[in-house]
Amino acid sequence: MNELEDIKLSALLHEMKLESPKANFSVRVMNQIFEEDNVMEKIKSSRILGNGFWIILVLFIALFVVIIAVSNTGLLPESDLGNVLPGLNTSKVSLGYQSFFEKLGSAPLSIAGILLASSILLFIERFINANSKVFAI
Amino acid sequence: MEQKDDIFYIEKVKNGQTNHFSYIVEKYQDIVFSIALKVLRNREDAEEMAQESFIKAYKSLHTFKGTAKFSTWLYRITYNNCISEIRKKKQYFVSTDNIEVKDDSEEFNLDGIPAENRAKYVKAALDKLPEDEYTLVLLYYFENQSIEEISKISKLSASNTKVKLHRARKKLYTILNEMLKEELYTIL
Repeated sequence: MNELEDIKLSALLHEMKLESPKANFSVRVMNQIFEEDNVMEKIKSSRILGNGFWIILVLFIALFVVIIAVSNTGLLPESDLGNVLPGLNTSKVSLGYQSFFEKLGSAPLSIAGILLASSILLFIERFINANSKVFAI
Repeated sequence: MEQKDDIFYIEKVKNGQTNHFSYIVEKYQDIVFSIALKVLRNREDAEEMAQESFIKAYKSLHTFKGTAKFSTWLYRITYNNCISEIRKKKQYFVSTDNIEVKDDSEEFNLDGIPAENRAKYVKAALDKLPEDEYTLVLLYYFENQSIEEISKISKLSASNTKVKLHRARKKLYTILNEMLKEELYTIL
C-alpha cells in the first residue's frame, strides 16, 4: 500500500469529527462514580456484626458450657478416680471411653444449636438496629 | 505528553481525588462512544455502554500499572464490553465478505476526491466498514495506536492485526471507489 496515501488517510481521519454522546455525558458518569463511591464507603464503615451480637453470643456459649459442665452424666465420680490411676481397671476405662464418645456424638448437635441461636441473635440484633428509634422511646 | 497528562490525572484519582477522573471522561468520551455506537448501532445502548466502560475503568484503575498507554487499556475495556454485550444480545458482526475487495483499490488516490468533500467521503466510507475493521482503522489512523497496542485491545496476534488492518484499508478504498463512481454516474 502506498505510504503517502496512508499518511493522507491518517490526516483525513484526524479531520473527521467523531460521534459524541449527549452533552451531560461526563456529568452523568461522574455522578454515578460518586454514587457508587458513597455506597462503597457506607459498606466499608458499617460493621457486619455489632457489639451487642458478640456480647449475647459469648453469654450464650458460656451458658451452654455451664449447662454441659453441670449435667456431667457419664463422668466418673471423684472418689473412683483414685482407684483408676494406680491400677488399670478396664471396666472404668471403657466407661470413660464410652462417656467421651457419647459427648463427642452430641457435638454436631451442639454446634448446630449454636449456629441456629447465632442466626436468631443476628436477626434480633438487626431488627433492633433497624428500629432503634422505636426502641429508644 | 498526552500519556504524561493521563498518568498525572490517574495518580490524582488513585490518591482519592475522584473528581479528576472527569478529565479522562472528557478526553476519551467521543472515541469510546464512537466504538460503542459502531458495534451496538444504537445511540442509547452506546451511551450506556460507554458509561459502563468508564465506570469499569474507574473501578479497576488500581490495576492499571502504567506499563501500557492508558488509552490502550481503556479501549480494551470498551471493546471487550461491547463484544460481551453483542454476544449477550446474540448479535454478530456484519460479515466482512459482503464488500468485495478489489485489487485496483491498491492504486486508489485520495486526491481524486474533491478536497471539500474528502473528509465527508472518508467518514461515510468508514461507516460502511464492519465493526471490527472500523475499530482497527479508527485506532490505527485516528488514535495513532501501534499494531502491538491494537493487538492488545482486539486480542488478535500482531500479524493477524496487520493483515486485518491491511484488508480493512483496502476495503475502505474499495468503498471510496464505489462511492466516487456512483457520484460520477449521478453527475452524468
